[in-house]
Amino acid sequence: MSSIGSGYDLSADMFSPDGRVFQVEYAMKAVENGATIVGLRCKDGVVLATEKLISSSLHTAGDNSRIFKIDDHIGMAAAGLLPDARSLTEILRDEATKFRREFGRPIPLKVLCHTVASYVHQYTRHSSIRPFGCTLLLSTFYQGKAELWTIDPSGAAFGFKGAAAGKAKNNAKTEIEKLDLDNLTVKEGLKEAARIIHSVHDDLKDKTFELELSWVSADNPKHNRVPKEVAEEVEAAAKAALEDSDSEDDM
Amino acid sequence: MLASAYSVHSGMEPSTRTLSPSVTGGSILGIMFDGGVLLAGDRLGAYGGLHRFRDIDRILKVNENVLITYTGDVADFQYIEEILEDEQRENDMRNDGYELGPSEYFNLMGRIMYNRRSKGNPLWNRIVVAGYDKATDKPFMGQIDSKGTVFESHLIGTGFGGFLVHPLMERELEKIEGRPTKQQATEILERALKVLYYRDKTTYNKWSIGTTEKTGSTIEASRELATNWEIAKLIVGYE
Repeated sequence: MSSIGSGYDLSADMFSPDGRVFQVEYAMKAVENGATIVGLRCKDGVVLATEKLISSSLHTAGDNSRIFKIDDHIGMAAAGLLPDARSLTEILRDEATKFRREFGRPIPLKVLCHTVASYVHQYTRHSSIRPFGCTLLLSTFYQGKAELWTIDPSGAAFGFKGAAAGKAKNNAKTEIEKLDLDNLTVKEGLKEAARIIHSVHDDLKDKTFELELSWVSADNPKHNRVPKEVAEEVEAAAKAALEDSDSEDDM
Repeated sequence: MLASAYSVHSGMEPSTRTLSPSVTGGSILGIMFDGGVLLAGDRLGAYGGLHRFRDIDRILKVNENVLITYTGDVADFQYIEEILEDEQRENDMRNDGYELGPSEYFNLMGRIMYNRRSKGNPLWNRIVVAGYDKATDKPFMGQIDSKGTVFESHLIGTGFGGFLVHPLMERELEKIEGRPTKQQATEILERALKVLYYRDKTTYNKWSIGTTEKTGSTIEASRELATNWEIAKLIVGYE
């Protein structure tokens, strides 16, 4: 693929002559090899959707979820190496609980992201440890505002209106850019996110997948996986929308 | 010789860190009925003899199946509340289909109280855990004191509630075969609360009533008992 590190990529404590830290870039490549995740910040809440690839028919359904709950009001979807994401989940949860105990209120997502991004960043500055191979999308609806944040392997934290990570990141981003997020409700956002995941899923390379959806909104201020009936309804609508657009293409 | 951190470690002196409670919560009454539990306690945080804080929540709803309440130091219970909230939140986040019921919280509190007493720094509370145990499909109620003594019972009265009112409730319950219905338990509790309020000067006429059943738990925040002080004239020495 792109350039070979040739000696400057052996550990995270090195710059290359053209100013790159290859280990961090390789970590981001690891994320790009993983399943796609999508986050949409709608006007009254945030939707997270993941393409949970099922590598074996022997897996228990619903197991190995890519969506985690960090605190009552904060949810997270992970792209890339799931074990790395799980260890960051503990860090995120501890920080959120510590803040709650010290200040007597739930942690603002911005504060949490900056704190944990600093932690992730530390792993890019030592030769003895490797960076985290996962990108996290974090969602919240707190004090009347919806927020979506990302933390990537370099330790950068950004707020977004719409974000995607994983193998079909670019296709997903193209689809997201077409949406008028400021005027979408969370219910509509769910359908769009489901549709995007289904449309960017590569049927040839990866066979089966489970669509996971979560929401946090004005109506549901505690982040949760979308209830089964709603999820089924949304997924059916998404598939129908895809078939419509497919048949339009055929014409 | 004054007790210090060193002497505690050497095991020579008793700890004097916890000598007495500050703001305290009063009696708690609990009655198990067929299909659930009723809990009652007043909304007072007393500062010794002073009715200092007259509108505090002493019944904590941990989740739909567990109510926890207490007698004793308010600050100590506020600390316990944080532990319980964190425990519940962590369980929610795990999202693995297992819920924490009254039995689990009862065991957890039992261990916490006993370990604190073993360190010579007890939490100055008598805790009552009540709820509906989904695993056994039965209501649950138990008490833990600051020494770490634990027991389960269908009838609990702490403080003055224990002295005056527990025997009264027990006598009423003996008349009923098996567990009372919710209606019967409510009537017994109402009478018990009245007696408790009339006879215990440390109670305040604002009550929280908690109900826990298979379908969930509710707390009626602020009940005021209708009282009739005309009977005072019947007491010799009044006036």
